[in-house]
Amino acid sequence: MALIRHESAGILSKAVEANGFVFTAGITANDRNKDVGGQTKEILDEIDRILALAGSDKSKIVSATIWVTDIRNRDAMNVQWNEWTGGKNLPGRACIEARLADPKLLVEIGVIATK
Amino acid sequence: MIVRRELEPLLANVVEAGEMIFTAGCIADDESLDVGGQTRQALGDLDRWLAMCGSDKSHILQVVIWLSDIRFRDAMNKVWLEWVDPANLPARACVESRMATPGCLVEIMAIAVKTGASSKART
Repeated sequence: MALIRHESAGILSKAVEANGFVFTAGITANDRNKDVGGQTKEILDEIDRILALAGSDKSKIVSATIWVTDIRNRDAMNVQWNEWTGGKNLPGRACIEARLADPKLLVEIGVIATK
Repeated sequence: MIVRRELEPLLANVVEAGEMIFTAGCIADDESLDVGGQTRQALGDLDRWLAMCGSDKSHILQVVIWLSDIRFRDAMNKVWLEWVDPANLPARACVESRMATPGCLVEIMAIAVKTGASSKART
């Protein structure tokens, strides 16, 4: 079985392809000064880009895990989530609160998709 | 071939992709229950979701459990042990997190395979 790692650097790969599935890293925003909505939008755009590297796209996501640093930011994150999914091809999802690697990071999202 | 079941506004409760099954984070409907009660209810839903996809708890590969307070771990585990198939224990992580509503004490997410997939015990 071919195992393909995309954008491997330092401590992780951005995405790994195995057995018809694509597993992404937890993706965070580059611009850490944005609010939670801005960070979420940036992350979702980055997920689009990463899935494309692996020959997939958001319509093939089967699972998403979303970490927010303050669960009260869930609604603001969900606004971007809804805009991005368009209510279509919705994955299994969990959204929970966690501390993230940098205090300015407000949200992190990891997904599993099919190819 | 992806099949998404029990669609909610933000997510699907369970998604089939070939032989694989991915669930949403499963929480109890009744937030007045204690952590044991919420765990029992969530695991009951998980049984139902897996059955919908032609699977069952003996075919779970991985489980992530979030507790609103890690001190609930023992009470959750008591119900977990009553429920889980001891011959087919999944890989599991259990960590503390705040969840969508303050009354939610436990949330459980699973990845499973369909019952057609072969299972071999490994030591």
